[in-house]
Amino acid sequence: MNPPGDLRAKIFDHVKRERSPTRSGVAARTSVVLVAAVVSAAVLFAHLGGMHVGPRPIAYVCGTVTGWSIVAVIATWLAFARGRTMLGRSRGCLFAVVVLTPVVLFAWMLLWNARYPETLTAWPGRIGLRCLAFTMTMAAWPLVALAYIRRERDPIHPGLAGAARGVSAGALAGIVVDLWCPIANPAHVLLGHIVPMAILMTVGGAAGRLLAGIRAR
Amino acid sequence: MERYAMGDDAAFEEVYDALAPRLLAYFRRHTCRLDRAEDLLQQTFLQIHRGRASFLPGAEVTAWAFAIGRRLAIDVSRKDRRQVPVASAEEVERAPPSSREPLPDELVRARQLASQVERELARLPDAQRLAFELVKQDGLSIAEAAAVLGCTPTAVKLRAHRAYEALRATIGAAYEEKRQL
Repeated sequence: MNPPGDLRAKIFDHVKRERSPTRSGVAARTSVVLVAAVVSAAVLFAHLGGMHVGPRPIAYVCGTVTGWSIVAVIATWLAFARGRTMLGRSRGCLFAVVVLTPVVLFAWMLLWNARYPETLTAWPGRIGLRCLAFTMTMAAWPLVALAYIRRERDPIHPGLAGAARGVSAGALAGIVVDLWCPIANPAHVLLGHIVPMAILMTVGGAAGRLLAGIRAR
Repeated sequence: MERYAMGDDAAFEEVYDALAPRLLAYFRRHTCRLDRAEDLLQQTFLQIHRGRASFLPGAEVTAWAFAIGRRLAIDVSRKDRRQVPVASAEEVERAPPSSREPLPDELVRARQLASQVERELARLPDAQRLAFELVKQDGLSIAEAAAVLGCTPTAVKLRAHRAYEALRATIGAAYEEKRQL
């Protein structure tokens, strides 16, 4: 059925009046937001003391940070890029990011703990709450940046995509936290480095439903 | 769509002409109100307009437009729970005439059948009904419908087939009953 002519005229008029951003404009804005997020996080990291190797062997730090970086970049790419379709990643892919990212990262840390048993030493009084707060603070920047860039752009699974973005932001923040935190005890890593990803998944899911989903006006 | 995404405003007309009739039919079926359907059509095109710069070269525009439209329709129906399952007589009257004017009893029978199909469709689970409508009524390919619904093509095939079988069983049985009378 063909829409009536007056409706056509109305839509054309609206479209003519409302200027939409160009591709170059969107690319420039995205770059600015991402650079601002990275710079803000870097400044905060430096302000809070920067890197602490502590009693950890340097090979351990290099290994864990490399693993975190690879997993975080893959998770971010899967959660943020849309692939070849305008509808974003499939439910299975997003679900895999949400579930597998924390599991793989924790398993990676345990693997390095097994290789360097001295890192298993518990630190009394440092159960991981500071790291939890630090991870949440560091993850806020990429999460806000990703939510801003993808606002009203997810017609399918906005909540799940938001949750995946929350987890990937937590994984990105985890790289910096791993450099900052000298404690490698598994209980501490679980509470301070992995649990924040679960919290960010919830926050990201809610933000996705509210901001990334398409809403009628 | 690619030209439109690159900033060629004149290409909007082509995008509109290709999508608007199918989208409007889709919205008519979902809202059963012409004014609401037209409003949704307008909002869908505005969303496409706002998001044109993010359009990926070579991406499927039909599935994208239907996915936006579906999300908007869900949002509107959440806001306004009042939905009439069957089109009103006034709206049926406004439907475009066919090339051959049907006989009155043919028209009555067609309306009864349409109402029955609508009722049976409304009774089906949402997943089956949506798959059936997108594939059989809106003419989307299995892959496009799968993209719109966010599931696999196999799931769409299965759901549409189940819906089709359910409709055939119910309407076919009623038709046989009438014929025997």
